[in-house]
Amino acid sequence: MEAAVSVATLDQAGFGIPVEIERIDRDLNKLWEDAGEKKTRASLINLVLYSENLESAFENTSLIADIAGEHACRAILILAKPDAPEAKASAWINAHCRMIGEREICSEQITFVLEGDAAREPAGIVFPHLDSDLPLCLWWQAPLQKPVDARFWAWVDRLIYDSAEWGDSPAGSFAVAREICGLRDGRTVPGDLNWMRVLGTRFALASLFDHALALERIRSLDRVEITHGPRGRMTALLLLGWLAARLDWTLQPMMASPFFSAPDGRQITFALQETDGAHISGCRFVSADREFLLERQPGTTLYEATVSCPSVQEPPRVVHVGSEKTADLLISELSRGGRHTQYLASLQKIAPLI
Amino acid sequence: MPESKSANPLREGLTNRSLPEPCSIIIFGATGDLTHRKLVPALYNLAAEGALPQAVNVVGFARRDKTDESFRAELGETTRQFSRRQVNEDIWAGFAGSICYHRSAFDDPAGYATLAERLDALDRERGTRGNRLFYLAASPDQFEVILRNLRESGLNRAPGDGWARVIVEKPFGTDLASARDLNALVEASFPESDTYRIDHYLGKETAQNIMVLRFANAIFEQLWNARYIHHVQITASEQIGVEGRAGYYDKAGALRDMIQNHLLQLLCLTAMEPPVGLDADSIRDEKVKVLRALRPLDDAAAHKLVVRAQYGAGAVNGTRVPAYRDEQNVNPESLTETYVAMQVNIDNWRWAGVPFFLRVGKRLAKAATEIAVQFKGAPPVLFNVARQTLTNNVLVIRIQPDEGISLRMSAKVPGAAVRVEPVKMDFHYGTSFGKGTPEAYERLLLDAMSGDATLFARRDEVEEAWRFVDRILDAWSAQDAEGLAMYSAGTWGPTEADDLITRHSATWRRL
Repeated sequence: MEAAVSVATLDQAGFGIPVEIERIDRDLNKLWEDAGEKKTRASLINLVLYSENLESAFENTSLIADIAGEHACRAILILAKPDAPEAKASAWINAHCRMIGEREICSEQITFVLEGDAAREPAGIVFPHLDSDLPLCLWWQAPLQKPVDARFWAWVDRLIYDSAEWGDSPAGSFAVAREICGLRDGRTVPGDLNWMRVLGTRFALASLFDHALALERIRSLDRVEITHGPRGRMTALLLLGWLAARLDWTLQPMMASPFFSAPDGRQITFALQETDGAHISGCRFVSADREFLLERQPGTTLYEATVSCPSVQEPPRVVHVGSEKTADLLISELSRGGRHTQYLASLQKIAPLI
Repeated sequence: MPESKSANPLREGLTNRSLPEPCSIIIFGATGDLTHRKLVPALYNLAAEGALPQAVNVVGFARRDKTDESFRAELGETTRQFSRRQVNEDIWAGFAGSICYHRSAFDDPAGYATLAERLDALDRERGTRGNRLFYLAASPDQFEVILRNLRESGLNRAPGDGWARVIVEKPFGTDLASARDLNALVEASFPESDTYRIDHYLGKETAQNIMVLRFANAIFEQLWNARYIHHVQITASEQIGVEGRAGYYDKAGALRDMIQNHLLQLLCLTAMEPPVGLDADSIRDEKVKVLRALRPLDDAAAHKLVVRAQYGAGAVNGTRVPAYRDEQNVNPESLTETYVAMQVNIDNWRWAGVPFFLRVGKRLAKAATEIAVQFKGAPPVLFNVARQTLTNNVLVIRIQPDEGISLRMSAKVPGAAVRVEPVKMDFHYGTSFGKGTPEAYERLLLDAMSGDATLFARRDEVEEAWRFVDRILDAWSAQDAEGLAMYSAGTWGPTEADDLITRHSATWRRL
């Protein structure tokens, strides 16, 4: 059984001012009254981050500071310790402000540490403190497990997760995510930060085929190789699934070495190779007479993009892949919104490989 | 939208907007301010966001002697200065590789012949598929010669399956006749479907948000008519004077420079009926209907309902500024208006009896562009009685600066007494969305590359706007200097403008 979390540790964690749970709203109001006209509160969403890990809860506070600069929100951090011996709920309030012009714009943060039984029923403690009428985006930073509490998930408009964190056997978590998102006639939308992680690579890959002569070869590729980092297998699979969905390939999973088949019957073999480095460090596409390469420049967010074929005489180009910091992935997810239909189509294409 | 045969399937769905296609962008007037301050920084920002296809060439076309390298170096310098985001040198280096310079006089047919050869070569080398976007960023008096040479050299027709489009910068003529001439000139080279008349106001986020506000929120559209709205004020005030544009401005004046295009466009977006779709022509059809419904102003009406004025010496932000006639390159006896306030009536079912007040001016006390929808008052009972007259509700759409929307309403002041005061619900784009708003030119360039003309003015829009404005110009031409009011720089405009709106039991909004 897990030991209770030390309050002294939490007070040092940057969670802000400790408050009694029943006084949260009053103390938040007082925070703004004390700030006077100098600070303006802004909120467009409720952003809830659920974690069962003390370290991530600490990191989440600085993450919220980064997010709040782009997405005004009421942020609620939950550190859940369901295995703690006693039921206990503690709360802190905080504000993250940034200057916009001459104004200081602030987002509120409420942190809950829930222990024992309190962690098993978080909805009754946390959800009364949501900013009313604003959508709820919940980033679940723990494995998604059964049974699914339908009443809890009915509150959630966007379920955010990072499938790269689900290890080598993510199938169970994907199944739970699917179940959650199917609960309210699909009104809960899944948002996988790993999908945001491949966004820059998708742009870079697309750019390889902008050239008219390269585009001619896009439907005659016969091999795909993706090099990924130690935690990047799922990232690589998502990229592969996206290619398959866009190019209408079908996985033939029953073979000893699975491959894709194209609508014209062509076989497309693939290989995922693990190496040290970024989640995706390179891609190589091969057709009969051409090779398309993306190579990550080590330690940077840049790819070198090369098309090798007799008739295209372009020097390698540098393509910016965008930041892959967690805060930026979350900002990107919150900015794009929508239902990620391509993500769902990509997942479907590679389902047997997960 | 069906996937075109030549579309890159990997581009599909990468952004939630229409996809720009690979192309060569040929800028006529490549050494000018617009190219350096707006166009190339906008293209760079798009490249940095990954929104630009890799296969895009930027070809600067101008008379001055430059090499590709010196042109890129100049653009690099100005892009670092004017880009809304900090320039990443690696990305700039990649983007700069797509820029080249084509030296030619605008009236030299040989220059167009070599341009055609160069574009064909770029198509082969960089896979731009024969798509060409010609940007007329030169002065309007050069449009004719450029368009004629594009036609005579065959550049107005794209090779193969490609397309050839032209972007025309304002002013679109100086009156109805010249606008028709210009349109005919453009049409002789490019069909209307490939002509993009740019009004950068329409690329601003808040201008685009007018339709969202009206048609994505059920509550507003029910109130958006003569039954509930008392009047509408559309204001574009500037603190600056004519800056470096005196030569153009002294001939044009505020009516041509601002009202004919920007303010009438904002009026159309505010007053139009819901379009049947979000495609370019459905929206532009509705805007044209508004322009056709504008009550024409005869000489007497123009005299009564339009105030024209010019600024005299004064102080803006505490700094002394000269009178308009004392500005450099301005005729010392100029009768050009630097301020216009006018009442416009829209004769249709929705707006019968609701005046729209437009005002624009230079060297005013504050710089702001906004649309204020002033609702009628509550009935004179209960709280709205003589003892305590309520202020009416106002919905304000701020276009710039500090883009946003506010709604003024009445609320009880806490306390035992029933005292009602106006309060303001205020939405600021910057506060809520934080991130930097894209420049209007970024959006508009992408749209032109994608073939989406929604935010560009159609021929009939331009001509209808001129038809309305022409009558005022005619009325003014019959007036002498007595028709021109004066106001001191740094004030809110002439008192005549106050009288104009006071006749309708209203006052100009404090900005």
